[in-house]
Amino acid sequence: MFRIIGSLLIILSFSGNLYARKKLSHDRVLEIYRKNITYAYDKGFDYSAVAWIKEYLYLSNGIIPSDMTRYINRAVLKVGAKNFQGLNLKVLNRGRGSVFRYIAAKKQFSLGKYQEAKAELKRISGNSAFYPFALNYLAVINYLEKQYSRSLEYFNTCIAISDKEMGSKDRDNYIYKQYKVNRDICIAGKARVFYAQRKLDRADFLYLDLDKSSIVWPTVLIEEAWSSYYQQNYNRTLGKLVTYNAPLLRYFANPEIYVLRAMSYLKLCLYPDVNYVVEDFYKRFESLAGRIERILDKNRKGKIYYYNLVDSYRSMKDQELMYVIKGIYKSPNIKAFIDNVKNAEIERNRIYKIGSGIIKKSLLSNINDFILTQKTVIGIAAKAKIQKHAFDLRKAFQAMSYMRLEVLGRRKESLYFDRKLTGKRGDVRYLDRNDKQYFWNFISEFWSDELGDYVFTLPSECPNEK
Amino acid sequence: MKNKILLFLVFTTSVFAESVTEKRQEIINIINEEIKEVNRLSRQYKQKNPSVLFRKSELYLEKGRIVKEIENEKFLELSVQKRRKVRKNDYFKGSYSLFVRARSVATQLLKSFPGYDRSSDVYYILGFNEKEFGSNKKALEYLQKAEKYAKPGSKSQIRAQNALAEIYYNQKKYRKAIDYYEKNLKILKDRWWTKDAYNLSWSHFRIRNYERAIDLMKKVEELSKKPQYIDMSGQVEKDIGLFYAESGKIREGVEHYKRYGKDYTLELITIATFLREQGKYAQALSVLTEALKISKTDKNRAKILISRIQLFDKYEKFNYHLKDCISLYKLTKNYELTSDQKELFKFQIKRQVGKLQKQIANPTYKKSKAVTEQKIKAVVSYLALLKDLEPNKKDDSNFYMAETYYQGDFFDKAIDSYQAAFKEASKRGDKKIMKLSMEGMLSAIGQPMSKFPNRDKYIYPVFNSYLAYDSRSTKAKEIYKRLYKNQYEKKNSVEMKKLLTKYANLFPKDVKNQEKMVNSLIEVYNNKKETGQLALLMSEISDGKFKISSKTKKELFAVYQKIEIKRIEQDLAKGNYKEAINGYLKIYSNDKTTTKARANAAYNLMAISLKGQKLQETYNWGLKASKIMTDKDFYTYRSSFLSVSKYLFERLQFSASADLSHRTLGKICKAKTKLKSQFFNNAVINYRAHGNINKLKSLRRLVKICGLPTSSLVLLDREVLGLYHESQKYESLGLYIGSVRGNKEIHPDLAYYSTLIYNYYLEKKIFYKLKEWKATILSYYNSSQKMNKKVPVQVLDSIASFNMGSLESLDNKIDQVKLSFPESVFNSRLQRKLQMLNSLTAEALKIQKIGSGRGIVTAFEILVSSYLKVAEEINVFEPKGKSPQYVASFKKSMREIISPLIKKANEYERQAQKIISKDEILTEYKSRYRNFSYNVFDNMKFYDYERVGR
Repeated sequence: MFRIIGSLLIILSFSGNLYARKKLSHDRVLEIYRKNITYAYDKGFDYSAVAWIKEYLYLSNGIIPSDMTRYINRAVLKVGAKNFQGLNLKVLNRGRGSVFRYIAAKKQFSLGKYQEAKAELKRISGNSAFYPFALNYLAVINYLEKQYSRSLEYFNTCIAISDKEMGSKDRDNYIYKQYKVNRDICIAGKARVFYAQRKLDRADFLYLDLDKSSIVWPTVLIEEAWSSYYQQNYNRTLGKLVTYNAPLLRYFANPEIYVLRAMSYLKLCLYPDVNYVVEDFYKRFESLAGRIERILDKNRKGKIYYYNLVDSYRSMKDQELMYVIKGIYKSPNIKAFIDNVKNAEIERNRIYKIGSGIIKKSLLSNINDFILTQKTVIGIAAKAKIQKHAFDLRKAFQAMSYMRLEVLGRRKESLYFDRKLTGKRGDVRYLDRNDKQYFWNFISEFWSDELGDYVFTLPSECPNEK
Repeated sequence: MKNKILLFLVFTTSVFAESVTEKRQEIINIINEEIKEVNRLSRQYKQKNPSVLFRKSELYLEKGRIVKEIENEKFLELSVQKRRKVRKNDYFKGSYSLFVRARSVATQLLKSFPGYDRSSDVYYILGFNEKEFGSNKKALEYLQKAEKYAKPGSKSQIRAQNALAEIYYNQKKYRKAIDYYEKNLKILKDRWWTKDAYNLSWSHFRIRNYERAIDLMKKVEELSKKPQYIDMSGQVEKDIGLFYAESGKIREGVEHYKRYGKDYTLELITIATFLREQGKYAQALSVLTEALKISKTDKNRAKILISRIQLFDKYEKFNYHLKDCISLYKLTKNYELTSDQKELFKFQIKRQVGKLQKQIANPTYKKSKAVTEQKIKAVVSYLALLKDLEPNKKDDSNFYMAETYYQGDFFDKAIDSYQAAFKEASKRGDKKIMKLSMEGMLSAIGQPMSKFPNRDKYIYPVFNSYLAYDSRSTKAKEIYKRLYKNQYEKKNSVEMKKLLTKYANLFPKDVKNQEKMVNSLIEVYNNKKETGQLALLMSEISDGKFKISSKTKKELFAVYQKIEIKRIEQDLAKGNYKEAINGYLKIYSNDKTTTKARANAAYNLMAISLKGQKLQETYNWGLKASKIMTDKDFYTYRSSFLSVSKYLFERLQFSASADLSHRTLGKICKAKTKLKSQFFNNAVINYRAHGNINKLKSLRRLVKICGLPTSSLVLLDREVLGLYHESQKYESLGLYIGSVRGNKEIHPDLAYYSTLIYNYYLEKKIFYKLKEWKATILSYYNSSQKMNKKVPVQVLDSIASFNMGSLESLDNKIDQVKLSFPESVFNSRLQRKLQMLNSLTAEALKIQKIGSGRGIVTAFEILVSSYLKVAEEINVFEPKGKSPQYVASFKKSMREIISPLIKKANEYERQAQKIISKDEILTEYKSRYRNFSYNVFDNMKFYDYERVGR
């Protein structure tokens, strides 16, 4: 609201003079906005137009002509719906077209109002560019409501429609990438539905459908590891987890990886390995946790600080911290905003070249506002992610200590009760493969194509294990 | 996983099997790692996770328990003696500190997290911790809280209740223990069920609920076979027999043991042994009796009989004991007892003999002669058995018999038996029995007549046979002594002397006992007034026939002399001085006489001499007495010595009197008595009178040593100064003055004698000494002035004369200023003269203040003369060449000056005369112009110190 008025004031400040001389009618104002938006659209100033679009929507109460809808569609697809979620629901509800339904649905979803979100999503046309995304949302909402079969249906449709949309678009098209990500999320979502239903075998198969180049894949990898863990296929869990050692995935600094690794060793009664993982984890991350907490402590309010931190991760000397920040940088949500900043900056350079005048001033003001907003959002999100990471690290340390205590407890118990503690390691017969996996000999090299598919050959050393 | 408690581990350290030490160490290492990890974990929670703190507390407790086991083992490895000496706590420091930490963490937890949902478990830990501290009361409190705060029916509650049950069991509150055990055993059947049920069984047993106790034991035994339960079968097997026995179900117990497939006679014996150890003799006996019935082998019967005689021994049933002993003895004819059994059998017989002998000797049992005799018979029977069991010690029986009789107060029979034993032992050459028998006989002889009426009949035969057997031993000594004592009681000096002579021959080195014998013999001689025998004995002692210590010898001589002195005193009383003097002289001159006796003799000789007015002898004996008398004695007789000193002084024996006073002072120097000053003064006066200046001076050091008053020192110094002056020894006088400078009281005297020395040197024209002595006079004069002490007039004269020079010089200077004209010169010179006259007056007044008559007279004379001279000079002056009018005017003017000058001169003259008259200035005065002097003593020689300064 504030921002709209702010932008308005900017416009009125130079058109204010006009008011002063001659009071403009409401329609005239809308007309000016329309002209401005059209100008921006024609010139490809999509990012600068965001402010005008939002103000126009606000002033027109959502009732806009169809040509404007086209412009808005492109803007939303380019800069992301999140930039429009601030609009009042009344405005959005009055708006005609799928784009308004999609923004409203996202807003309702973020407010936890799934039914309302679902209603909005169902109103999105099958022809709309937002349809594949809407399907993804519908699948997720059904998943959250434990309507797994419906969820699966939506995911299936999502995959099919996304594929179709991808097929109709050029790879370089800005929207192609979004459809691809959407499709991959839907594939992972499908697996997650099976996983939630404890149909772990089926989940595993679906995980294998995911392309390793997908931005979603590293996240899914740990889910696969968990799936194997629950199937008591600890060797496979370890195999999945070892993938994270690959240089390509070093940025994926999720402490859960280490915890799950230690848990798997524990399940296999490989106590020295548990100890090794625990000690290694403490050694690597305890001081990092302290450093992160100090950063958060020192910068409680600075949003832009966190943006700068994320933006400058490449020049960081502290490697472990760099991986953490890189992870944040690469996370899909943040990445979209980072791209916005980059594109907006390019756009700004173009604006500089259009000579002078009121329109140039107005565009610059808009683009600067837009960039600042993107940075602030990135800063807030990055801060939340860093906080979560610090929290996860502490939780992981705790889990590690508990595991080590468990090992010590078992050792002690074996002494108290004169029981055998460990056996000897076995060999390849402990492999458990299926047709989608292929045998991979561990030779300390990682190839992108092979990531995530090797299996450990560790036997269980639990005394009661045969 | 997070909340998993290891409590069960904490309390299972006793489950250790072999290689316990290594395991313990390994476990401690693990616990150390756990503590480290828990600390790390706690750090992750920023020390705000109560569960982690709880875990930490648990770990400290667990480690503490293991460390305590190790410490306990080390402590038990110490020898019993060492264990008694050491401080037990020093050996348990390690575990103690861990328990303290466990407690501290747990209490901190409860304080910081009052709402902690597992507070029950924390209290449980605290309770166990307190148990380790040995504080059962606190443990109970905590465990009750643990029970209270636990969820009903939860494991925590059950655990707390079981712990409470254990505490109640240990506190012998079995019913409470049962309540808790019963409650939980119904709910929970974990691996500890058997252990808790075993405890419950014992609780029932303790309240005599034998049925339930046995049932539970059976159940425990049954479940112990299953691997999921703690195996308590060993304990059950050990205890169940006792339960059966205690409940009177011996047969069932037997049946139970039969099931084990073992020789149950032995088990019964085990039960009986256990019962016996528990002090349950009746049950034990009944089990043994049962066992005896079913026992078929001699081996087992022997075991049973051995057990039974042990029980009868406890029971004090000697007749049953004897009966079983006889049975066992009979058994030994066919069955060889094990060496242990044999030893135990013999021990039991000997013990019984000992006990019976004790009872025989006990007055309580002596009331009934019949009972005593019965016991003696029993002893005889036991001894008969023993004789056969110990064939190589057959001959001892007579001796033991004798001992038994002795204890039963049958001394005649005892002596007969001892003699028999002695004879037999002599034959065998068993010196031990010979010795013991002889000692027994002696002891019997030592009994009073009331207990042993016909004792005397035995004394001499026994003693003589003893002395025949042994004449030189310690025991023989004792016998001699006893014989001597016997004679002493009869006051038989002849026999005593004989025994003494014999004893002295046999034991010449035993001075101590010879001495005692001699003493008692002297006592008998004294009482019987056998002085001749006494003198003989003294001479024999002197000859060394009887050895006594030199100290005693001296004492005996002193006693002897006392008798002598008594006799002299009697002579004195009768007026036989000659005999008395001889007697004292004899004592004084005897080498053996003690110092005290010699001093006494010398003193008495002094007294006798004084009485006979023999001055020299009085002094001589006084001197000798003073030399040898102790300070204490001397102090007692100090007044006598003062009298003797006075007596000698009065008879002009200054030297003797002084010497005696001097010596006496030396003797009582440190005593607190005013007489010391008197002795000192006497010595001073007498030495002065005798003119012995060296002795006089030697007294000076006693003033400080003996703590005499300052007045004594003043007196002494004045006498010394006077004596030097009298004898005209001015050099020595001068030296002495220098040496007594510290005695400030006599500074006026020192000024006076310094003046005398000054005058002496002046007279002798030894001028170089004058400066030194002038300074000395001024020094003592000034010091006396400061102390406000009056100084002799001679000193004042000297001081005045020292000042007179300046006065005379001024007078001359006035003379030298001659008046002359012109007028201005005249006026100036006149003014100068008059000013000088004023200065002269001031100087004269200063001299007046000194107080010397001579000085005053001289000063005033000069003053008056000077005034008059000036007046005269003005008067006679006439300006030359001036008109008569001028001269007349000049004269008129001069008269106004002359008149007051003359007036002043007259006034000073009157004043001088007035001072002379008032102050009685006893100074010869020869005026250059007039004779002012009167009342003058010429050449006053005697100097009375009392007049000094007047």
